[in-house]
Amino acid sequence: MKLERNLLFAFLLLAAALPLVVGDQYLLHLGIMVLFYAVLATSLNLVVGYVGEFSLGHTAFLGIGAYTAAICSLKFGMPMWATLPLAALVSALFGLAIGAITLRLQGPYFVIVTLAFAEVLRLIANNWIDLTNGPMGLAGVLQPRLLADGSNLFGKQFYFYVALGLAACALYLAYRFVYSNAGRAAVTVRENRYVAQSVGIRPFSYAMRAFVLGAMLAGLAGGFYAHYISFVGPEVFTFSFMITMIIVVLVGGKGTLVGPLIGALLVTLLEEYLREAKELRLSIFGLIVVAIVLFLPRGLMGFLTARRERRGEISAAPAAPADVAVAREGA
Amino acid sequence: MNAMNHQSGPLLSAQKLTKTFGGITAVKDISFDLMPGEILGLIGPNGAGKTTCFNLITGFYVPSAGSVSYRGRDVTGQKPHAIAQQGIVRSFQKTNVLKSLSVFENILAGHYLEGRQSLLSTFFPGSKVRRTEAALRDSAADIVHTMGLSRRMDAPAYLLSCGELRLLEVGVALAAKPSVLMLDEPAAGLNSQEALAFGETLRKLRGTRAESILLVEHNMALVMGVSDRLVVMNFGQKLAEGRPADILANRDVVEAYLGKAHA
Amino acid sequence: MDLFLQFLVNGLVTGSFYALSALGLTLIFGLMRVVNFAHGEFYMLGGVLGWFVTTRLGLDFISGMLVVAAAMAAFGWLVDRLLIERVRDQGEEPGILLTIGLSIFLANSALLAVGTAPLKIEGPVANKLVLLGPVATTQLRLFSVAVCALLILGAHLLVRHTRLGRAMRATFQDPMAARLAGIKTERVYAATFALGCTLAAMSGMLLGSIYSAQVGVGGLISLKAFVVVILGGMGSFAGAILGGLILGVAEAMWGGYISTGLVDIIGFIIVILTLIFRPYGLFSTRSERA
Repeated sequence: MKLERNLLFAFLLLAAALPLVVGDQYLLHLGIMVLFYAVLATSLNLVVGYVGEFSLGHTAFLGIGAYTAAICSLKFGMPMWATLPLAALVSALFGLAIGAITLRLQGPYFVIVTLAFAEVLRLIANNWIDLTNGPMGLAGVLQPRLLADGSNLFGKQFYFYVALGLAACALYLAYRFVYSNAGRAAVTVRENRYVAQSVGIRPFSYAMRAFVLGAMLAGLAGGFYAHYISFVGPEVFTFSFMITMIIVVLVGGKGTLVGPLIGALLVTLLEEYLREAKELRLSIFGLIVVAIVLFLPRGLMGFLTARRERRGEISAAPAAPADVAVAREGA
Repeated sequence: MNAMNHQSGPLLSAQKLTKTFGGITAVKDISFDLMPGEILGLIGPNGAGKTTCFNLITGFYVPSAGSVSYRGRDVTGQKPHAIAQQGIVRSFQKTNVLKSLSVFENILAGHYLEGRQSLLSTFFPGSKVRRTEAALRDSAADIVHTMGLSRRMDAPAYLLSCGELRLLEVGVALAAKPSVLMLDEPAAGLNSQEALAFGETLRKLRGTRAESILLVEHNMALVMGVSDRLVVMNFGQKLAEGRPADILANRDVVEAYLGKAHA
Repeated sequence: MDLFLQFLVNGLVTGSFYALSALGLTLIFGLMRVVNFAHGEFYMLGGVLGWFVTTRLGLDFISGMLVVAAAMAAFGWLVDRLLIERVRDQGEEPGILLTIGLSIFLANSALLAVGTAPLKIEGPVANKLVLLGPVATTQLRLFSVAVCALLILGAHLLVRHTRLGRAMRATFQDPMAARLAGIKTERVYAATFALGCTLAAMSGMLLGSIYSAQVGVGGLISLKAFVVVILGGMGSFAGAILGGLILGVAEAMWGGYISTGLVDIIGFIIVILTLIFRPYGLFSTRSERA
């Protein structure tokens, strides 16, 4: 717990210092994408790790957040500090609705029905021209007035700190959830539904909490995306974002808080390196997924943790109850 | 009679419980009472319907007929988590624990009901939450010791032996602060020495960590030694009920277990 | 009325291909409990390979089909033995992720190799118009439906009446018992996967001769196959056939009477509704055990 918290703080501090040392727009853009994927991966991780199912339709919430922000900005002229919370809220509501239907299912059924929802949303976005402008998408999402007179570099720095703020927010909420009674209940449900029920946990409501939290954070990221890229089209619902999210979560290690950060860093760099060759990049991503499932199922964080577990072998000498109680405190 | 007897009626009461699956009647007209402060043993040959009874009482099955009441209130057919929230906690015949978590974390997880928080507290915990969490952790450590698993406090559950897993499962059930503790073959996998120690633990639990205990067991020495009363089932029906000494002398019971020649 | 019949026949034609393709998926799930997300890519490979052997290698359609069938069966066998075998005892999730990764790899590698242009496969009969009363269809479609039916029948006979089929069913019911009875379960799994793979590929090649084979089609095909399988009940042979026909007809009706733009959406709506109201499929007799 402590180690994780320290790592998270370290990451955020380092990130905060980045724009002060780096003046290059391109590098700042990379940094923004890392933070963006970190938030997305944290949101997916909540579903994977705390509902225990792989939602292949998580892009639905990214897309809903993005479209909400874009529509509020373009049709109602709302500024960014209003559209972002709204994006998060609308996504959370969709999460509530979709979760109510999908969380009653398990395994492959859950995977497929979430995918079906994402596809339905994509088709709607593509065809409801009045609201979403169809395949043309919504362009020219409003930028904060602050940036109107500033340089491009200033714009990047601004967005970087916004992204950092969102990442800090996401990590805080995820961390609190994970170490709360609710988080423990969600893990219990994930691990063994019978045990959960026999100690009074209603499996559905805790799966729902993790799911809605994940949806909200993905929506927040989506809203940010809309303003940063200033364009939102139906592509935001496609599988390609989903693939990246899956890889980030798998590479870093699902069910951990630090995993998504590592995954986001590695995958963003890999994506940039292979930016031009889209098919090659995706082809390699596919191989990476296969390789991870076969050889590194708990991701990098899981691998490191397993090594630490094996080193500090379990068989402590019997301790007096008082000592143990104290030791428990700071675990 | 037990000094803990605060109320006059039974703590838990099963009335004419019946369950059919398709054409098969698993249990028929099962009735018995669990009094406050008693340990009731539910015994019978394999396939007698004991676990089905457990499932009916705790809401994992819905009875085809009959009812279950707890503290005088009808709880028939309620969902398992609702039943648990009212104070009836069970363990399972096939070991069910959280395999990838440690012994301590397992038992901590069982404290769910005590640690429930509002949504706001989940994300913005105050000092009250911190104190509750500390209390939960102390309680969990305490239960680990009560069950004799101190040595394995931080061991992941998948490393435990069969007997240790059964003890862990009981520990998790205890964490939920049951009034009625229902244990399904808790001593399966314990050798005779461990079973003896377990019997001691059960006697200590009664009236302290759990008001009454309902126990399904095949280990005759254990169940005879620890139970105040016994209910015997065979072929889904109640065969006999009474004190251990009376049950041992009951011809029908002996016949059910050992065959006509021995009756 | 005439229009209705036309849509119906169109729907049945498309539906029989959906059925054939979904059959592979449901067999793999029913017999192996593996959810094969790479299913659409096997279908796509069938089409692409079909184009390759008929166009580049100059084989006629039937011979081409046999070659593709053999190649895809071998490919499916290898995928199972080398990849799926390793995660078989780890539950459902690794299988899902593995096949997702595989599907991404196959789809994009094929894109690299062949590009996005549609590939035409020469059918064995001409695309001549055939009139059945008020309904118009083509010789090629009729031929393809016939081949579809034959393949479905063949699969049914294989599973029901051959030693391999019995071994498959035994392994599904209880792998341990099957092993104790002397059945080499690894080979059964590999054969089952190969069968599913081949059926998907055949479906792809047949449809590729009617329309054209395209590399990017895998994802949609996978989803539609899942719709059919969920509709009919995972693991149900008859359900896959009925489900496929229903989906085909539903799409034809929607596309004909309402609009062609949102045709794909009908499948997803069906699957969402099915999973809400009858999670085990329309034809499944399984009910929730209390």
